[in-house]
Amino acid sequence: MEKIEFVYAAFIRTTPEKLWEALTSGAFSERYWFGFRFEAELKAGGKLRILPPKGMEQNGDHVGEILVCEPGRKLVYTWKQNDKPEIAQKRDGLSRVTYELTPMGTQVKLRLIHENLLPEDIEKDPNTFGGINNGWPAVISSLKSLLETGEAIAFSPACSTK
Amino acid sequence: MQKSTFMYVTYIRTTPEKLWAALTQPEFTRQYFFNTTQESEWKPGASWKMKAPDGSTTDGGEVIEIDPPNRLVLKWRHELKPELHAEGYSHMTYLIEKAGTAVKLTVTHEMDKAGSKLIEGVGHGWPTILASLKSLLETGQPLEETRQWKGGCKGE
Repeated sequence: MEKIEFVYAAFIRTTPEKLWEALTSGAFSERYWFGFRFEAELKAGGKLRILPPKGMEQNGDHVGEILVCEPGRKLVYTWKQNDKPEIAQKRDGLSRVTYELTPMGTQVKLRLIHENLLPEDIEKDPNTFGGINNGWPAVISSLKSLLETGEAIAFSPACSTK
Repeated sequence: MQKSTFMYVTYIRTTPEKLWAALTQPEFTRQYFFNTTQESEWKPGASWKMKAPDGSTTDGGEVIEIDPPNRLVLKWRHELKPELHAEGYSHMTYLIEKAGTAVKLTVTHEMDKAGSKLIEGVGHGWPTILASLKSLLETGQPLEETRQWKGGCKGE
């Protein structure tokens, strides 16, 4: 089976502690992640949910499990997509998200890897926030803005870049 | 044909005009692009050069397509390291689109060759450069680590 992964790197003027908090706190994630709330028991084996905001309930909530939790350094969790049945049967286990935080002087490198994906998780149309490949750059860009300026990016609510 | 492609998307709270200026004007590129500048008449067919602070040309090529402040396509060859120079020309595209209160910048850098070392190299450089560009436009300050020339390593 074809294995697909999405890798992204961002460099943020902040500390590993602040970036960790922004990545793992629901109050922060609601501000930069299209209103989604990240709730997790921050320990290996802990449960995780990423809850949609009002009006986007059709997107469902992502449930998963924390696999690795090293505060300020590394978080790995599984991510269950809300698949249609014909896609769900193609999955070979859940997809997995890794955040690696590396301090580099006055900035922190955030490396994001989303792996064990299907071709269906990648959206060919770039003019949408749908698809792993379109969603993450928007979320991480907004996170960087929030940490560096105090304001996340206000994307249009229609989930479109137009 | 086999290709090597690097693609990166970032959203910056600015206007397309300001982003275009920051991508092409030396007073901006010096601040976030390892103290380099780009020289071109910025019209189709014009030569394009990237210069290190000592005046040496690090990369060169020509403008293939230019539509300010929306799209720029450059033919791009590395000039300093022999093994990268030998790979010949790549193509680099900036696509700039309004996205709500922000601007979406898509950088695509590709070469008609599998396993290109140039594309691997710029794949390390672009995320640091574009992060610093975003910081510069949103906060007035680029990231510390991309302000000085590092002998062509581009953050690798």
